Amino acid sequence: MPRHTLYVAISAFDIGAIATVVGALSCRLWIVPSAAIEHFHQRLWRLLGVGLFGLTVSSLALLIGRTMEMSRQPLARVWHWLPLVVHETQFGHVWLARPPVVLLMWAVWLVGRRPSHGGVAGVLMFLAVGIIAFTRSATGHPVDLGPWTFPEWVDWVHLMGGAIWAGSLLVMTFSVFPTLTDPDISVATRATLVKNLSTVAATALAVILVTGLWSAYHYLNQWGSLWHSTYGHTLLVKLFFVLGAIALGALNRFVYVPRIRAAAHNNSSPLIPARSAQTDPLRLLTRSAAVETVVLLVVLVTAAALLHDMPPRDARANGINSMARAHDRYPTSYPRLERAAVRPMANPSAIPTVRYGVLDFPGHTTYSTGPSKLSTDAIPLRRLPRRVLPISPHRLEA
Amino acid sequence: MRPTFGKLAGIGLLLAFSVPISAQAHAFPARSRPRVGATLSQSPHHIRIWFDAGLEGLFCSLTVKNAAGHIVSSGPGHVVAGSHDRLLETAVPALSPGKYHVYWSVVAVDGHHTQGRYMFRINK
Repeated sequence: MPRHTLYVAISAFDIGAIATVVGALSCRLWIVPSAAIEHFHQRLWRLLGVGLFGLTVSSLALLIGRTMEMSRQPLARVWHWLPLVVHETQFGHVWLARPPVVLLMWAVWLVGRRPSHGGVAGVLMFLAVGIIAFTRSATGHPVDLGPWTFPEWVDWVHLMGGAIWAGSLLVMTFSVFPTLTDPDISVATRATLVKNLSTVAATALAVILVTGLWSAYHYLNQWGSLWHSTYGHTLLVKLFFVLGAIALGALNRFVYVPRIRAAAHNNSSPLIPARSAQTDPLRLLTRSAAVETVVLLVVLVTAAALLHDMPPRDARANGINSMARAHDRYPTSYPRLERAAVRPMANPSAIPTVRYGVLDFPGHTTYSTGPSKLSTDAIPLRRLPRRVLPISPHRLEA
Repeated sequence: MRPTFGKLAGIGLLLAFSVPISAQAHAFPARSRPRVGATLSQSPHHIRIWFDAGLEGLFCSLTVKNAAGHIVSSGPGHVVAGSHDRLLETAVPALSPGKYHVYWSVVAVDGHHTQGRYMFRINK
């Protein structure tokens, strides 16, 4: 498996674990009506435990994966780097917040197993998972302006909004919908529950759209980059699936939920009669929510892929084509590690630039943005039209 | 008329979104001494590259090689303290006239790696 895929998989797993925890807590705090808390609490708390276990594993995987990514060392050599990364890098310093917070969450999870403690425990865990989510925003693309900057907060709000939307649907699909038809759940409770789900999802979606649009423009630099960069292509795939999820959500909100509520007002069960099972709104909603969950999981993976791509804003700012990726899967030597694999700097592909000499991008197809006047050792590469990513005259330094 | 929370939140949001931001995710050189392709009349004491993003010093290196491919820089390079982790520097001894290549390899604070090289000359 290519290393890049491994890093994306680890990020996707981590975001998925955050979404599961946030989703379970959202259901416990806002979606399941108080009248049905007793009924659903144990199931929700069990799934919350699964999410917490995932978060524990993903936190370790994230440290190992990011250490491999930064050091470009294989797994067998990464152990030497772990303490150095934890103590000497910004990622390590931010990551150090995770172990105590995860431990605290386990303690609160144990206390909150009793339904009577679930409310306070849920609020505490929601705050804790918010800190965990922030460690993601504080170690990714938004962090380069420095800590506590506006892009970090936008990224964090976007992540939390996405986790509420996708996580709530995931948890509803696995924990709530399967028992929603139990006889001890009243029709009114069912109607309230699906209405709450719809309201929470719609609110989260509004937050996601605002923060997502801002982030997209911020990292794309111009909308045309959607069509001319790897980052843009991945974003288009994400948008395609987000639109699919929005369409399914709209179907739920404007067709199925009103039908279920109407059935509740008529004091009749929305679960009707076997002969009309195909049009039973609650079953249709359950099915639709399950499909929406799957679609949102794909969105989650594309979001993880974006975290490991070079945004066109950087590519443009640095006069290189954004089809290039700045990942290097070849190990190189470092002054700080005597035992590191010492290999000469690999150079299967490179980008000649007027300003920096040659930028090396081993292992990826790269293109030049224009002739290099100064890099006499530049590898001849295919030229792209200047309109794609021009190097402006003021960038000439020498 | 007292401003409502909604109006204040709206104004705050508008102001926040109007803040100009120029983020750089991967670190690339902003400038260097000597400059790319420069021809110098005397040997420099240090090779310095300023980057457009914060660097993880643990994973940064800066080496200088002569035309024969031998390393001539005195050290492996280090991120200079007090530079907001943006200046990478290495010392070089008195260099004889000729062509030299500077090789840099850095990891930005967002964990992404970039590397490159450039050439400069010293005239007789």
